[in-house]
Amino acid sequence: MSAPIFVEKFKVKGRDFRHGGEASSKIKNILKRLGFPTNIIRRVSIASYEAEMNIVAYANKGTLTLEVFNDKIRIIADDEGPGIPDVELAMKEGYSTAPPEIRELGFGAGMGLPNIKKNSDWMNIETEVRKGVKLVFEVHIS
Amino acid sequence: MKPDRIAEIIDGEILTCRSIKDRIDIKKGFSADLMSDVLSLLECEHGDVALVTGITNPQIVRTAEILDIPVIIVARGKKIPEETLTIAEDKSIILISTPKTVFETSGILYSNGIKGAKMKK
Repeated sequence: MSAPIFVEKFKVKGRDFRHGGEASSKIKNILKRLGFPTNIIRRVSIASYEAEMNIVAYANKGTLTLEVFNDKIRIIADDEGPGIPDVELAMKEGYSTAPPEIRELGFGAGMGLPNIKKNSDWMNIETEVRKGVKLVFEVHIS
Repeated sequence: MKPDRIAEIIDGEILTCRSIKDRIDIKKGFSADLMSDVLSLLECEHGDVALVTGITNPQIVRTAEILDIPVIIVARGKKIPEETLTIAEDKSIILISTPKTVFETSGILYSNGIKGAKMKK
């Protein structure tokens, strides 16, 4: 497997709704500067923003890492938090454990993980309850 | 439709990014309070969609930025927090405030030729 041609890591704070989305905004701007097509940038940005808001909403803290390869873009969303007890259930559209304050912001409708899957070509979740979640997804450039 | 005309027909006021308003031409609209729905359902590949919403937190601007939505209309005359205005200014997103409800705003826009935005399959 070839090494990435560009890597950048962003810190994401749990419960910081003021800045939630800023890392994905930066990722979007980097991909624009690197000259990727708009549809690729939008798919990565949507999935990245959903992953970032999951960290903000549920975890204590985490990171988003952007890895750009010649043929794909990979995002690694790594957090320290409660983890996901049942990944299969969390992948179902409409299933959510979000508290009311998250729902008031317009999130927590149980669409996040399914939307990440929909916008990516490959996705994987590793999680341990009371430890955290490592979500990796890729958008392939063809 | 230019933001000035949109503001005029919904008795609204443009609150941010007045300097770029003449570069924007809105053709479609989408009304939602649930940003998850906006992110998962909306097609907006031409940057010509206005989002009509009843919520005011910064995430409406973040969502618009991610999807290249140039105009957000906040309904029901809600007071928009300073941080939402600041981020909108920073991200070049036009916020329009209107005293009308989401339903009335959407209806007025639709009857003036703004079509419903395409939904993802």
